[in-house]
Amino acid sequence: MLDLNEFMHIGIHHYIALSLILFAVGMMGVMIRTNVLIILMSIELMLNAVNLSFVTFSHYNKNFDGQIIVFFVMTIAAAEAAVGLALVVLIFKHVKTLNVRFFEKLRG
Amino acid sequence: MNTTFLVALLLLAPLMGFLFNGIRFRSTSYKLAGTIATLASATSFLSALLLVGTLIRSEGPSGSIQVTFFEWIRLGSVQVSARFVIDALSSVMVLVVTGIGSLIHLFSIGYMSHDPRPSKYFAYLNFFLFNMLLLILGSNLLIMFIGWEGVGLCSYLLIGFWFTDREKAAAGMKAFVTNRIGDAGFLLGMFFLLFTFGTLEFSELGMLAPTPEMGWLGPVTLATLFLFVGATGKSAQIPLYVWLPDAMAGPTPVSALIHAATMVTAGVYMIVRLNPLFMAAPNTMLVIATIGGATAFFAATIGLTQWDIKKVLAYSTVSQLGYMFLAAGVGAFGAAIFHLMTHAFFKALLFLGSGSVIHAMSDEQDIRKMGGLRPHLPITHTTFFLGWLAIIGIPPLAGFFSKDEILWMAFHSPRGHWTLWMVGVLGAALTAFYMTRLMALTFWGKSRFGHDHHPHEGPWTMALPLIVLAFFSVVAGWIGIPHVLGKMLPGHPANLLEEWLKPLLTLPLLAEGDHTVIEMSLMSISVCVAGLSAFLAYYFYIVKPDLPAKIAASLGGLYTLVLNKYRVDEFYQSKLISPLVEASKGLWVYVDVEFIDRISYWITDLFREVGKELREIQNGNIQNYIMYISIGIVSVMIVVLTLGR
Amino acid sequence: MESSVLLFYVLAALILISAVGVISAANAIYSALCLVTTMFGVAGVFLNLGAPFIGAVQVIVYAGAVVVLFVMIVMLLDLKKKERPLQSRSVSSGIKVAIPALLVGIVVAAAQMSIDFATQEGAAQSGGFLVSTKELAQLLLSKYLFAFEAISLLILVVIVGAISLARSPGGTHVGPQ
Repeated sequence: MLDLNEFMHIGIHHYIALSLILFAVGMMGVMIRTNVLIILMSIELMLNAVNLSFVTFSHYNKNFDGQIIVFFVMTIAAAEAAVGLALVVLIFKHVKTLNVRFFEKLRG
Repeated sequence: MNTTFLVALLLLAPLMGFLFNGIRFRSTSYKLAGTIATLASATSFLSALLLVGTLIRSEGPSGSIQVTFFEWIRLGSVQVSARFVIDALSSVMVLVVTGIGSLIHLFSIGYMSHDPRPSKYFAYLNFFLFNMLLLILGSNLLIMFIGWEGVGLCSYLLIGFWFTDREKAAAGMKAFVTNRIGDAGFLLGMFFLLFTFGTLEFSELGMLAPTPEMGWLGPVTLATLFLFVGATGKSAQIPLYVWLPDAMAGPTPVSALIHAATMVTAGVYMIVRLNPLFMAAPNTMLVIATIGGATAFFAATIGLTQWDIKKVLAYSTVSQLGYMFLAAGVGAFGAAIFHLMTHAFFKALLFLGSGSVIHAMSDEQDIRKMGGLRPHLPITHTTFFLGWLAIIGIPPLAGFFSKDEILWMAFHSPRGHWTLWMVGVLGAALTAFYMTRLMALTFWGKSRFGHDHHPHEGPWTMALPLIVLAFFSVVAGWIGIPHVLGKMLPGHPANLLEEWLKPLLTLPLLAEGDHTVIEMSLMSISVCVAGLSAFLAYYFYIVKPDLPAKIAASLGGLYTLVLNKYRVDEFYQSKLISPLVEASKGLWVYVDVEFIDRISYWITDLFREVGKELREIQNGNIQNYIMYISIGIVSVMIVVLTLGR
Repeated sequence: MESSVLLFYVLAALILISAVGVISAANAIYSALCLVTTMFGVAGVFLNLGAPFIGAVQVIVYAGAVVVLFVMIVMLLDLKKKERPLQSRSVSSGIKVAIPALLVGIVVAAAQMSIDFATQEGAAQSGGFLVSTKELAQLLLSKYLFAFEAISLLILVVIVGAISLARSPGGTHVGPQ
């Protein structure tokens, strides 16, 4: 199954795989860690993975619309990180903890 | 005027009255409610007059006015329309019903003046009239059945009008349930006819009737037997008569209208309507005549012993209805309708008269507490007197002509038998006896009521109907003068009613020859018997008032049995009703509560438990939510990828 | 082995190891530091893929601003506790690990099956694909002008929002009340 030739030439699949694994790692971090800051960082990981795949496709399709989109994604991610962290600080003032287990007010 | 418009007016006027008073049922203004109701009824009567007039002028007794309003049912080959027919037979009925109905509406205005819910009463009365008109004028069995059921409903509503009294409400229920049993028979009869002939229209059924069937299991015989069961329910014959005496719990005008003049005659009308079918089922006719005769006699015996003025009249009604069925059973359909008509007049008169008496005696109904009312209630007494003469069959009042024709036909018709005649005469004797007893104990002799009663006549709204009905009780018989008498009278009046109804009736072939002597002698026998009986009763109750009590004591057990109506009600209760109720209770406990309810609770509990479990999923833990979302996404991807190929 | 291939693998290893470090670090500050290295690795990959401008922006914005912001917040909230993550052995944790793995497998497989080998071969040949800033700017300000303006508005809103949040009572702003 493992064809070593596959690994010699870097093609689109390698970059896709890399972006996917990075995304998966980010997803695992969101689901497993209980510290809200680390969850936000994992979200940044996922966004990075997405950016990676956009640029990959942009390169392989010889089309730089992908990079424009990355530009926008980065901007939005930064904005979101700023606001999100401000909210985290405000919440911390109230509940004195960063463990998401204590934010379960919206339950059935 | 346009006949369609007149028929519509005829039917819809009472319906409008019902709606008007029904919507305002809380109102206590008896004058407005009563006036509207009486006007509605009078409108129907006038429309009926105009229509019958048109019929007489244009086509005569063999024609008919038919109006179809809309096609109602069309199922395959079965077609039923909302069609109404004014022909010779229904014209008689509709005039009687609307005429007497209007008079009773008028009477009710005075009678119900102190009632807290007069509007509801008049609404029910109008609705009854509407349904009765549907019954009479419908051109097929289904429309008749609608009216049949509707009058049953109104009967229930009106009998139990003062429903706060438990017994009165129970009487209403008894009427309705007993009627229902009859209705089941009616329905089965309809099914048989529909299945055999494919139609329910009277005109078509009349033409399709085959030659007379032998035996008991032919389709026509069975159908007519079932229809007759329905008639026994509605018209209070053995075995389903038990509701009528209890129905006296309702207001007296109701007893007069529904349980004397109109609703209870529906069974007779139905049989006469379908007379070709019945003539084709001789065994059924035998049953009808036998039950009619038996009921006539049986009810009369009970009437001898009753102390409630209305109960006497109720049993009298059952007995007179028996005569009508006796006539129908021997093929004398014209005589049955004749007696229906005259009975409507004098029985309504008698009931309204009793209503006047009850009203004057502040709702006292026991005749042992009356007596000597004649000087206090002159109009009531005079009219009641005329009604009394009519019912016991004294010529030249109405009852004589109609009853005598029945008795003659019972003897003379090929479907009749002298035993039936004998039973009829005995019944007439008893009728004369108990009616004279009623007169004597109520109006004549010494007064037995205390000084707290001040009897006086009612208002003109109560007196006028009595007078009108008394007039008709005298003259109504003159349209049916039999030929034997007609020959003897100046001017040779013919039997007008017989001529009028003849085209619609399939009559048995009477023996040829001159029967004047037999007929005249039978007539004289019955008149003499009636006169003797009346005199005997007068003797018993006025000349020697202690005598009846002594006779009753000496008869002992027999007297008590008759007084208690032969304990028929108790028999029904113990043998039929109680087992049924027990069985129902058993079914309720073991099937409904134990089994079905358990299943439904099990299902609901199941859902509740599952819901509880599912609710745990939403615990507010965001990471759990994300996990679920990702599981979902992955599953969808797998599905798309495997199935997309 | 070609240098570009080696470069790719080195960068990939850096990214992935740092990413795992982000999610498994004991301390929030360690996570932040691992995040920085991840960002740099990604920037390197961008450069490799002929997107120098994007790579630069990645370093400036992500590594230089976002992560710094994270670090500041971590230090503000003064966490002393050292967690011990990734200890749970429950079924849900197992699922939480398995599902992303499954996701990777599925999408990679799908990509393998659908993306044409010809395209990727041809593209690999033209390794000299490089997008200059000038071309990006031309595209940004013509075709994506509306989005550009919208993004500017978004940033304005975020600035105002962040400041108002900071100024709310109990906010981080320490000064004369």
